[in-house]
Amino acid sequence: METKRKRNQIIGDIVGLFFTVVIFLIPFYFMFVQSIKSKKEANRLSIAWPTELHFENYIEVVKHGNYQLVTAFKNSGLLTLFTVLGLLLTGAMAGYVIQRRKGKLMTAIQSTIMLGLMIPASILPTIRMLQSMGIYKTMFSMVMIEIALQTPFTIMLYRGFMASIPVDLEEAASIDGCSRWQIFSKIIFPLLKPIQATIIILVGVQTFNDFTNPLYFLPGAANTTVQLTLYNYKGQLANTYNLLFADIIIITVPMLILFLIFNKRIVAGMVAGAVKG
Amino acid sequence: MKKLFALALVCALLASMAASTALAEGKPFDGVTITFWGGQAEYNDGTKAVIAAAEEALGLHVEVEINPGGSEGDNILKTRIASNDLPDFLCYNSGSKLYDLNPSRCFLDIKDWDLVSRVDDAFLSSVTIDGAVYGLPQSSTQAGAIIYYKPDYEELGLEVPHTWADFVDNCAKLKEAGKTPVYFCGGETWTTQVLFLGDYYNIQAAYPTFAEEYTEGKAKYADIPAATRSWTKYEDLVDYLNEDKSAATVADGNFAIGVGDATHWFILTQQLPMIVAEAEDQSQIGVFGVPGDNPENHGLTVWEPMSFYVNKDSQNIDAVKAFLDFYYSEDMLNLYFETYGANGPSCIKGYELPESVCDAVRVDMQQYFDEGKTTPALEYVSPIKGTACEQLTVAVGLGQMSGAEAAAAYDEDCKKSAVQLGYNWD
Repeated sequence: METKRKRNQIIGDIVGLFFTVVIFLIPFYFMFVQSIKSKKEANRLSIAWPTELHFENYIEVVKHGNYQLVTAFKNSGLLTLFTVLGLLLTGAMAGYVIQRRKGKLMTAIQSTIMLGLMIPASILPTIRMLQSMGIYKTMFSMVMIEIALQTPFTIMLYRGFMASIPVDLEEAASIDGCSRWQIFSKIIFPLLKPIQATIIILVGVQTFNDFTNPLYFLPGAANTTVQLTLYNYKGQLANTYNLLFADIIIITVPMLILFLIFNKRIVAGMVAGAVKG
Repeated sequence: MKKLFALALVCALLASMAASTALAEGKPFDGVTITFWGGQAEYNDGTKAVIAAAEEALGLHVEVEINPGGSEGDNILKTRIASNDLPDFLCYNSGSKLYDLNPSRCFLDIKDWDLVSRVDDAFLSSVTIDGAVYGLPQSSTQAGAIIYYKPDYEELGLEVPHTWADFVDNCAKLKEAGKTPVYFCGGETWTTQVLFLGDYYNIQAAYPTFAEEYTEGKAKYADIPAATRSWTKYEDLVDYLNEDKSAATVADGNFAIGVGDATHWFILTQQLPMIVAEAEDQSQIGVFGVPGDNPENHGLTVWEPMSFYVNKDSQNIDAVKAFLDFYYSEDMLNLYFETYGANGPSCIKGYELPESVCDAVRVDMQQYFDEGKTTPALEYVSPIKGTACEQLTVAVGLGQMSGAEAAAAYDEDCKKSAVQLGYNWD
């Protein structure tokens, strides 16, 4: 009986591993193989190992367009960093207040914020507004747009997580002489770590991978973000797949690293917020 | 005394002007940055080479933004027009898509530029709206034609067909010899229209007033036999297509024709540089127009290239003009076509493509131009094009519907598009 169960477990593990390989590793391997082929060979898009290795594709991609990729990484990096920082701060505070206070006003505020999840941003009015404020085509405006667009989702996650923190803690802190601000900064904020990790990764990936918003709101060659560099290699008539995949790999790596660091916490944070409202 | 003084002043003025021009002669636009917006197809190796040479010679710097293309590209361009945020110059379609942009509001009318007199009239008519000229040709003309793999023809001793019946005959022979006679890219639906659109030369030859009557709603594809023929031609080919016809992409097509996996491909000749890049030798690739029924009149349906447009409100119009003057100098045209290749004969009057351009363009296509057997595609003569065209050509191409049915369905479709454009078709 015992051995049978063990055997089943092993079989389960093997099947699981098999699917992991098929679903996650093979696409990655496929991209990698294309990225080290010559242009002619890469255009076949076969999964076979290249006849000649062309690691210089990577150098070419980095050098392309007067080191455009370096600028793009700088832009995307700044954009992601400030968006995440801004959201962590404002989202945590807003989520705290909305979750703890009850009443008609709070319900109204919350519904307004949640509307943001459903209503898409309109492009031209936003551009006009930015132009009239004189901040169109600046990194500052792009950060603000990203924060505005992702605020509802962040608050929703915070609110869900906040419900799992007992109010007793705050009462105890209050009795010990904490001011309201101290209750939040000293007691609540440190407890939010799991959900912070989730938000860092979700918002980070979302912002880093955002294509359409920078395309419309942040035009200009100096303002390119990493996703936009892909269009150097993809056209209507022909693609340079070797460079395209080399670019994809370079772009994927930072997010992959972020993911590996925060991996364990994501699920914890998501689940913690999932069941309690 | 006064006169003398005035004369001296004028002399001094002239001298200083001469001096300043002489000074600037070296690099007249040193330190000027002009911005350009274009897709990957327009910002190709040829364009890059010319830009590098221009930066060297004129001292200016060209900053490039990539257009992602397709409907995303159209949207972003319209957004930027609406927000007054256009680059100094850009590349976009000529012909009916230019109308959509309302060019008088954003693009510079360049009819006074000397360059315009060097461009041929067929191209100019595709960028002229209400007497104003907006564009200059980015590349060469191209055709909707049949690109074929010559070694297959030599192997079986076939001749370039001048009638449709001969063409189908050739296909039968190729199939017998175990080859794939015709390549069909159902995976990218726009490609399937090329047989239909490229057949316009034959419609126009048999029925010269077709374009006008069609625009007025009097000529229908289903009623005029020469026009119905454009649709039934797909039926004749159903048995001769590649196996992955419903999924194949343009990249697959480039490869298949380049190495001879298939013999014919109905496609725009803008693919030639890519096909030639796949082929062992450029002389293996040839082009002929979609054959009609009259062997004496076998012609080519021609598309105009993308155009350069200049932003009306640009601060750097002089620099852009200098760049474009430079772009169309003979040396630079040579540099462009030698680096990138050509899709067809150039739109610049009196300019001959360099030797290195493939035979398919310099010999096969050029002969149609020399004999005057070309006609602009219907989309340059009539604003009406049914939106479901590519869905219909895929359906007929795959044998899911008959040519006659498709012709009738297309007439209905065109009617909708005509009504939207404000034509009265009843």
